[in-house]
Amino acid sequence: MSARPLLELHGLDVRYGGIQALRGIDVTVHAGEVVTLLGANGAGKSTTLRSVSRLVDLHAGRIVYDGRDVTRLRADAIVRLGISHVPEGRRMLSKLSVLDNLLLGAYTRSDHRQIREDADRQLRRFPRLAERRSQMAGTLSGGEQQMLAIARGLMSRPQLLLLDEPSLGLAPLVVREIFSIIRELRAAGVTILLVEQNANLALQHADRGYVLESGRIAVTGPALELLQNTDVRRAYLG
Amino acid sequence: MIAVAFLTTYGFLIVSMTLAALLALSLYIPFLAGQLSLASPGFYALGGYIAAVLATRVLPSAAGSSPVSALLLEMALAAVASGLLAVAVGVPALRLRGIYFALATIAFVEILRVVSLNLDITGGAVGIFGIPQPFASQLGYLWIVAPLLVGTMVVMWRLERTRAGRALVALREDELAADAMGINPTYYKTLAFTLGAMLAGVVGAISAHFLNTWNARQGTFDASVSLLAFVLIGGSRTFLGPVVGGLILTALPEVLRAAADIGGLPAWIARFLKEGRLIIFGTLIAVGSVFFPRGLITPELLGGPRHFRDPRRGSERPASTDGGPSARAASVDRPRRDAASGVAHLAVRRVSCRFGGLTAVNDVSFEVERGEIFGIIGPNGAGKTTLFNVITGLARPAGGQVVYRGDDLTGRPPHTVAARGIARTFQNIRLFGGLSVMDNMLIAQHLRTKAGVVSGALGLSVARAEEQGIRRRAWELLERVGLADRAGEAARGLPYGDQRRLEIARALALGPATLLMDEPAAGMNADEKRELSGLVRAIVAEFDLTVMLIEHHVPLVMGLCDRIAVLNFGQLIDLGEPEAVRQNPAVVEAYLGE
Repeated sequence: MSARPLLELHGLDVRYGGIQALRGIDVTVHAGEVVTLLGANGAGKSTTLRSVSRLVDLHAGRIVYDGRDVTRLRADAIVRLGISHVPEGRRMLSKLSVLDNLLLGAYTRSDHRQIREDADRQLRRFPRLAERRSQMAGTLSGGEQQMLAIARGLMSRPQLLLLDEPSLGLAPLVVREIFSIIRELRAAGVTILLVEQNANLALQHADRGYVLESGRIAVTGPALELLQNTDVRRAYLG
Repeated sequence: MIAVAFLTTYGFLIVSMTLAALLALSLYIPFLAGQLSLASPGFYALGGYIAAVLATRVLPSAAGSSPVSALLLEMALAAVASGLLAVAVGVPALRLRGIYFALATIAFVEILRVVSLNLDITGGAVGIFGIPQPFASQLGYLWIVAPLLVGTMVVMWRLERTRAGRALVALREDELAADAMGINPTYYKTLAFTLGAMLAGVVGAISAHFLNTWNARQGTFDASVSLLAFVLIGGSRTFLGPVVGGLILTALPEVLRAAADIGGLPAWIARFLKEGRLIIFGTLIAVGSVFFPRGLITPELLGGPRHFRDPRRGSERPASTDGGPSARAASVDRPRRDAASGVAHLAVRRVSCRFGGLTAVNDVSFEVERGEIFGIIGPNGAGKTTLFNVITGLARPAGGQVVYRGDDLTGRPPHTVAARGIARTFQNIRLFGGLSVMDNMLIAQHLRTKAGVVSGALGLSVARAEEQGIRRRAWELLERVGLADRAGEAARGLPYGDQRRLEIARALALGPATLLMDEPAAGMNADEKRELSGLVRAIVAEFDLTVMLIEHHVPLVMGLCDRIAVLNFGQLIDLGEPEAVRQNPAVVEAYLGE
């Protein structure tokens, strides 16, 4: 793990209408790290990811990616930087086929031959998707859509992957597959910012973690430390 | 004196503005239910012809009737005729959705126009002249149109806050979820379409007299577009929007013309104001829709997000989280017919369901006992949600039967299934996202209330008592799931886990005997999952529920369920108590792993 921070969030402040979702969040992610965000529902985890991919407007704060201030970039420019966001709730292009969804995930790339290879690799990884490759994405079951969302997110060959509850609605065997993908990506040097309700599992696969509480960072530290921290255990790991 | 002069000069304009506001409302009413109907000008033309024919050919021979009462009679007849035609047209046309329905209504307006051009009774292309004037001046029409506008606005104000109006809004927000809440989409869409048509017909009858002549140029597609502009620019989220839109946009060209007459303006400005006023008008509409995409009048403008006050707070009842005695009392009024009959509570018999070439559910049979917590597990795409959809009427089975307490529910529409006492939550969360948490809870009590359009709109005491009852119950259930302090927030803005809790509360609000939950714990952390288990156990006891549960969180399913069915590739591969299922090698291989 290098000492160079890949992503720095400084004092992020986000408001939805009258509600303050983030109150001055500072997060640093180093290149090659897996960092997980923990916390109760509504603590601001998803909002943090959405701030990075510029899907929400910032009220205040700064986002620095790879040494460059990207606060003012738009969502499409963020993707071109090599940041891929697998959003909560799947967001399929439901009238397009499974394969087209995958290929659109590689919209920012131009190496057509390798895009095809990557698509085949994703389909091998998720045999359910391979069986349904020409079906409209909207006709997939909820869990299959979740698999497709993750596969699509990987198609841009991201440097930084933002994963929002990747295990949502997935059968236990598939959850295991998802975490083995996370291990694989980590070995390949992909940096991952992970939001996951299964805090135990997330911390086992992460280098560091942040615990959010009502839009603030309550605790932060190495994943192992958080796993052993009795307060954190009681509050989030059960 | 000045006021009198003003009113006399602008009498025509003032009445025209009022009529435009009423017509805008006639388009807004179906819009409230999510139906873009451009049919108002058609009913407007119909109403006009009815009044014109009656006034020129029939009523003059009926001696002794005063002109005003004749007009009122014509208005009533126009309303009835428009209403009947609306039902006849609406029932088939409302099967179409979105833009296709809008196209059908445009075709309807065009058909009426062509018919009126070719009939003798409507005067063909020439139309009908010399329609008698019941009032001495044009301003006199205000005696009719002003009360009509005020009355319609009062009715709309009440409607939007009562059962029937909420049913319409629910359809706009999510028709499928509304259907599952027991709201009959066909009935309410037809109702909204018909009410809009009746109003347009009445306005047509008045306009025929007001304009003194009526012909095929009244009520054309142009008018449809203007009315749509009134609604969209005025604001389509509250009835005040179309009223303001109709008033302002009708007055604007006249205001521009009057402005041109102000002395001292450079000649070219005056000329532009006079001759180019339609250009200015069009530009203002374009600019307006860019800067006010939701219209001039929005609900926020009228006092921001509505605040809700717990009617019980500060009263004798201390705040508590145990549901309270009244929540329990509210649940006992539903029928219990199956207690001693010996029939299965819910029987799924040889059900199959196919989509295209894919068999999602394949010959599945099982029975759920009353009071049981029945789990369904299986790999993604095994057919679990499809099975729920078959039971609740959202998917039609290719074969087999669903029998609930002895009643065959196979192929019944969702609102009928809901009325029989089966409520559900959705895997991908289908709240009425744009509405408040409280509104979601009120809509869900549709089946527990009876107030129709009339009693709701008139504010009868029966409707008001009902309203208080469902509000109290909504608070109790929200408190039960820990969402009472968020009642005024938009459902869409809640965090994921809270949205799931709200879906459960909303389903409970139906007062069901059976609750189907599709992945209720998805998106919840360990703590919240534990709480959820407790909540499910508590509501089963408290509301005498039978629960069916799809869930991937194995410890939760194993700990909570009395029996578990396992689906794989659409087939039932195991059914039994949790421990037995957990040890079945086929289940381990297909689903659990290890």
